[in-house]
Amino acid sequence: MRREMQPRLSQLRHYGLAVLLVLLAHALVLALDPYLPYPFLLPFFGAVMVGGWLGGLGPGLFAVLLSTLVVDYYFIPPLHTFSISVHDLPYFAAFVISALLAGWLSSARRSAEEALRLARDRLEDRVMERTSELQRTNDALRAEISDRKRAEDALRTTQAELAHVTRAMTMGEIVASIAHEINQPLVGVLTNGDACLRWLDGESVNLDEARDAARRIVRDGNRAREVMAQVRALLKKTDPRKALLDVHRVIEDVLSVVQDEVRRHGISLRFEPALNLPPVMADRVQLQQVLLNLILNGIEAMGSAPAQPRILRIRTHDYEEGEVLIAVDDSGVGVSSRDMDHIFTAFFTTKADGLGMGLSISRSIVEAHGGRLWAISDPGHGATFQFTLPVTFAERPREDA
Amino acid sequence: MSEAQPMVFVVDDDQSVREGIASLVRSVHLDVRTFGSAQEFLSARHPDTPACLVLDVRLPGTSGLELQRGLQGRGITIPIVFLTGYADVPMTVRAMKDGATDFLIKPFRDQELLDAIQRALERSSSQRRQEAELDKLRQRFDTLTPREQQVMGGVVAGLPNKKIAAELGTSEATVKLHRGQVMQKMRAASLPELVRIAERLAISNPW
Repeated sequence: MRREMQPRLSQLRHYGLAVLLVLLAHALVLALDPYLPYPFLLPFFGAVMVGGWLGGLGPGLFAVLLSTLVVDYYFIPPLHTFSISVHDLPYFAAFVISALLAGWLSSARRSAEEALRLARDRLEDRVMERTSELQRTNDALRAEISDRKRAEDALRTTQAELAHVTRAMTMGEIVASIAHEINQPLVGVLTNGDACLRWLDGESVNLDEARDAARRIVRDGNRAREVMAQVRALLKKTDPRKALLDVHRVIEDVLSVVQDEVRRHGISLRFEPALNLPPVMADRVQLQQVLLNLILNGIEAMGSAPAQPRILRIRTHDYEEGEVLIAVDDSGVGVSSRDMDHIFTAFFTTKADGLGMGLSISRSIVEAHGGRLWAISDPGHGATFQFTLPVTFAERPREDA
Repeated sequence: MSEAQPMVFVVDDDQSVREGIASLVRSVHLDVRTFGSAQEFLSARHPDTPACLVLDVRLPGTSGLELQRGLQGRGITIPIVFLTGYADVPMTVRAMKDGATDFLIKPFRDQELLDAIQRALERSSSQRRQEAELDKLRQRFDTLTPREQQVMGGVVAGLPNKKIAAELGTSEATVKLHRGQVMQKMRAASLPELVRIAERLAISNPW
């Protein structure tokens, strides 16, 4: 492209160059003439070739024309005329043909090289163009990847927040709903049971009435069993959606959610992740729920503890063969040995507004994952709640890939 | 007292609970009738006996509390024992203000329910006694002549005979005569008793 930009005007300079070259050749021939027995015409070929090379076909042929005229005028007898004797014609023709060939070859060669260079330059241009295009695409791709990553992070944090909010609410609602469904047949069983006993006891024994009441008891028992079957079906529907998870990432997500609470309670938070912890096969949301529950318990335990350094520590370890251990240490009130026997029992709570479901549910979740959840406490100095999760070596795609 | 056999009405949408309560009530030798909804209860004929209503708060359609208000609107004063799965304080307060005798949370103990039914039936009996007395007093009042009724109004308003005579345009002796008739027909032994009877009949000075 750059070459085509050159003005046509330079063509004129090439014709001038052709004239100059022929003059130079003439001068050289004249200078050598006294020393040689016949006119030495080779410099003209040189002029033609150089003219053709530098200027292309036009200037080359122009050099041929000039050389022919000069040679005819000065060197072909009769000298100093443009006429040619028949005797000299073959010689002259040979000269002209040779000059023409030299000029044509030289210029053709030159233009071929020129075309080649042009092609190379164009290729370079295109390569550069494509390279920068690729660069742009790459940048766009990279931006997209980081966007997606951000979106994924946001999603996981939102999930953790959701787990936080719905923890107490859904639990309360589910418990209330199941309690109502179970209460109806229970009232029936108790009322009919009482009636049945009254018909069997006392002075007015009536076996027909007692039998009817007993039948109703059985019917209500079956109703209760149906409710339980429905509850079980519901639990089945919410079977854990397991995937290979990076435990540390799940912990970080939960920590990002409880940050405010930690700050508000003046607690210093320490996360001590183990190196090279293998991924676990678990349900992300359930794992978040367990962690959230243990961490919030720890925070509350320290909130009611007398002034002492408030430290919440989350550790992970490559535990026993094929297990990872996640531990939550707090420096709170600890658990008395009397309470220790009950803390994992449903509806047991030491908190004023607690439901007594958190640890019970956490333990069920961990056990459903094939792990164990237990507590160690030094009453008055804090407690450690820790659980294990089995490491699965299944060939499954990682969710966090 | 030769009163009719009392009757217990049970309104609960749960058949098993309904039948269980009915069985319990029968076991203490009380008559019982059961209904699955408020509408069923309202469209049934009620015998003229002391009665109480064992009523589930949470009924499909017309709720227990709505039924309670509907009965009041019709001037039916049947004592109610409420049953509920979950008692919140405002609901309980409202029901008790509107005349519920008891509020039991399911599941309840059998004795709790039977005691509540007993209390409700006693209340029903005393209500009926009072109404019967009032009826008797009304009947007696109806036996008075218009002039005697006017004299009674003056007497219970605390007016002297002379004043009553002047108002009615008659003699004091005639008033005295009417007054004696009133005391006799209303079976009042004294003036204070006549005043109490007038209060119950809501009779005031006719002028």
